[in-house]
Amino acid sequence: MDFGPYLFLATLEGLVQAAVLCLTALGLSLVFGVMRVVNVAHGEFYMLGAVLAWWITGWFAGNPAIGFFAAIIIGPLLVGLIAYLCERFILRRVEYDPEATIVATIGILYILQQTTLLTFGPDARPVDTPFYFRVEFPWFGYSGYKLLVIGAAVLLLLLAWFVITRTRLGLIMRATQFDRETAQNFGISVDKVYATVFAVGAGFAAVAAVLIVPIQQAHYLMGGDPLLLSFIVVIIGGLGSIRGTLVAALLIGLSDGIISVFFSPTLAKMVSTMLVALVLVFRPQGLFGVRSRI
Amino acid sequence: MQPGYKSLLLHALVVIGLFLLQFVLPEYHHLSVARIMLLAVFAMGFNLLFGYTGLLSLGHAMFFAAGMYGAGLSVYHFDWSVPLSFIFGVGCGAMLSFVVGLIALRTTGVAFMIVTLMFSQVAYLIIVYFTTYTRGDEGLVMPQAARSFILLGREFLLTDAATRYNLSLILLTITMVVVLLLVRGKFGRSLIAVRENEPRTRMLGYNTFAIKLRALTVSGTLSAGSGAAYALMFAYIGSSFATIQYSIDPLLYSLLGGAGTVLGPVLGTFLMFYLIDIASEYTTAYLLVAGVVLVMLVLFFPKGLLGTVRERWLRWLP
Amino acid sequence: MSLLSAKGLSKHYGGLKAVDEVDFELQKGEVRAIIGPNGAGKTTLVSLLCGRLEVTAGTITFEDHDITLTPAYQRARRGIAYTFQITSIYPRLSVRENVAIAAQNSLDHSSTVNQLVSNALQTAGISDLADEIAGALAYGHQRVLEVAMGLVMAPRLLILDEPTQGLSDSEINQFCELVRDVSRTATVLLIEHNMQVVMSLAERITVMDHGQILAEGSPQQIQNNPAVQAAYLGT
Repeated sequence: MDFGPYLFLATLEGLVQAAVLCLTALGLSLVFGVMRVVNVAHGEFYMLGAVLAWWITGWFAGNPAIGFFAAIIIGPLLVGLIAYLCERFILRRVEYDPEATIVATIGILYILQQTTLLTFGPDARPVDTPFYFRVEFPWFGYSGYKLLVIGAAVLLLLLAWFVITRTRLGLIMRATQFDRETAQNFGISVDKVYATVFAVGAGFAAVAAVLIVPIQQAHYLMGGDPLLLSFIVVIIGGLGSIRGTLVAALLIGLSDGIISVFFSPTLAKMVSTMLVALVLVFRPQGLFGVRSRI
Repeated sequence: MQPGYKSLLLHALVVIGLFLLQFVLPEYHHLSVARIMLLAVFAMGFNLLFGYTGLLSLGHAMFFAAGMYGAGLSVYHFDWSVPLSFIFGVGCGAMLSFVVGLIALRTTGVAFMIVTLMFSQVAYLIIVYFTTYTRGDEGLVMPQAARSFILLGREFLLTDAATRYNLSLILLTITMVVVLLLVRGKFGRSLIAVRENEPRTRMLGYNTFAIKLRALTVSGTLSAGSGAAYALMFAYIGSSFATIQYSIDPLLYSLLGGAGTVLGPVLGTFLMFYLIDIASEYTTAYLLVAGVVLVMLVLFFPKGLLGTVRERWLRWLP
Repeated sequence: MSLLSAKGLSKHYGGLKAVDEVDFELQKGEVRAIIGPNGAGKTTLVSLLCGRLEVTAGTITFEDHDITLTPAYQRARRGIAYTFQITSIYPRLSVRENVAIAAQNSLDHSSTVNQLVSNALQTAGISDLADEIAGALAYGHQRVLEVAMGLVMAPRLLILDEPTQGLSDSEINQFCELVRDVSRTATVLLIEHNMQVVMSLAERITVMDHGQILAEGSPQQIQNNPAVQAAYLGT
């Protein structure tokens, strides 16, 4: 294949990665933006989404499409519930103290990860795509499902954007993000908002994982990379800025995908990780974020 | 913060106790305790920054790895002697922590945690990327020539259990003394001042950036010493020692034993090591124990064991 | 003899001129009070002098050295001590430890840290509280602790930002005694709203309003100044 089509292929691959990364990072960004806490266990919610998808599709052994549909609805809901429990019984108790929260979420990371190891096992398990069709480009055939992933991600992001900017729920979330105390004075139950945001954030990560799991496989350690990449995206995009998260996810997903195809995945990761550290030091508000108290 | 012979006595007793312990330990535990003592050095180094200065670094694995690879690679590729490699490893750690500090200390709190985590990731990726020299995850076994060295006319065999044990103990003791001296004096007071109220401390005439940089450099150097000794003592270096796991371990040990105390990390390392050792006999998911302990500590026991002891009974504990 | 002199000092926040082209001078050994309505720029001016804020324009000279660009911690080492408007101590440490941290950087090198601490605690009248945890103290005592921390540094210039706020009457009297004591060895600059304290302590008064100096003079002159009365004194 010539360079042009090869680049196109790499770009498509990058877009798939970017799509999934957008959703995952959005979850992390919401949590940090509204609650001002860093959730190190975010990658594990992602992993749980994939593992639960494997489990749920297993119920519908004969029919991958229905199984997948069930997984993408039930999975994120279950993960959201688990997240809610974590928030309610652990994070709320340490009063969202930044340092304590990080340590606590590290603990949650281990608990979720290792419990999965105990129940799901150490092997990677595949999940069937809900349907098979190939899109025939002039130079190569491409999986239709992957294009669907991109489409689904765009849809979900639009939905999220709509809820955040156009609905009352979104307004309440943004108010709490802006000034927690004032929001309280206006009768907003900050506790409920935090619980909802944390659950929704985890849910987004889970959805992203369910979308990607037919392409990759479900594995108990699969949360590590998405966690790191989400961090990178959220920080470069600007903590608390949805737009920034999306732009950064696009940039990083694409470049990661393209550099991985042409060079090595390790190098790609190195570049993006270094970039994050430097952005945090020299331009902590990222691309779009507002200079706020981290 | 009373200095005094009580704390000196306590620390001396701990060292003597550890020294005597080697004569009663069965072989397996002999090796374990030697390992634990080196990891305790790492934890003490970490704790200087975390417990006393109040800076949570999530990237200390890179300093451990700097020492480990600095020593290990120079033995493996350049045939340097053990003592020279050790010093080189420590030097690498010192340099790395200084440079990282210059950049990372422009941030605090959560941003500092993330920046250190990111730098550590880059270090890990670099080790993996240059796999031709480091053999990445597979790692390198130290050659036979590095299993012994001559110092001050005497030959030391690193294959001998007693030699290993006592060298580890010596390193532990040196670290303990260094930390104790630093923490009890003027510098220790300034560290605590930075931790408790940095803006105030600045207005009292302290160059808080320089103080933090000094703390980070000492912390990183001690951690590198642990890594270098580990590589030479147990004859193996591998990229697994540069992963996030090794950044979280010293945090876990310090929290459990009591951050902000000198002996806390030592106690924490001992306890956690054996907790995980026992757990791994029952299940492959032994890190579950680590997770549960972390959550319990954070919820109910934030001062750790010795921290609580100090608060409730022994105010003079440094 | 001039101890500190500021010329053309300005601090702008975007369009807001918190301090606007202020010329300010302190004589060695005097007790000066800065008064003015809320938002006049008093704390901002004082923050510029001690280095907590960077100037937008102007120069500051202290003991014949230009300190305009000198960082705050170095100004403290030169002898400018500042107590925060909102009490800023080390709440988890003991009173003694609080003062000891300040004492380590004292300009008085003739005594040990422990001696300096004991002396400062005694002068401030809180020796009996030495082993108490600072955060558990009554607010009034915390204020005094802050002053003690400033004292122990043996400063040339002690800046007190609304020190009597929240103190009871008897505590205020004790405080005035303390300041008179201190003024024998250091120049004192205080921001105050309590006019009785100002009148009894200050040798000269500077009145600020809207980021500028409205008037400067002896307590008598200020009291009789019609512009000051209109802007601030009210009664």
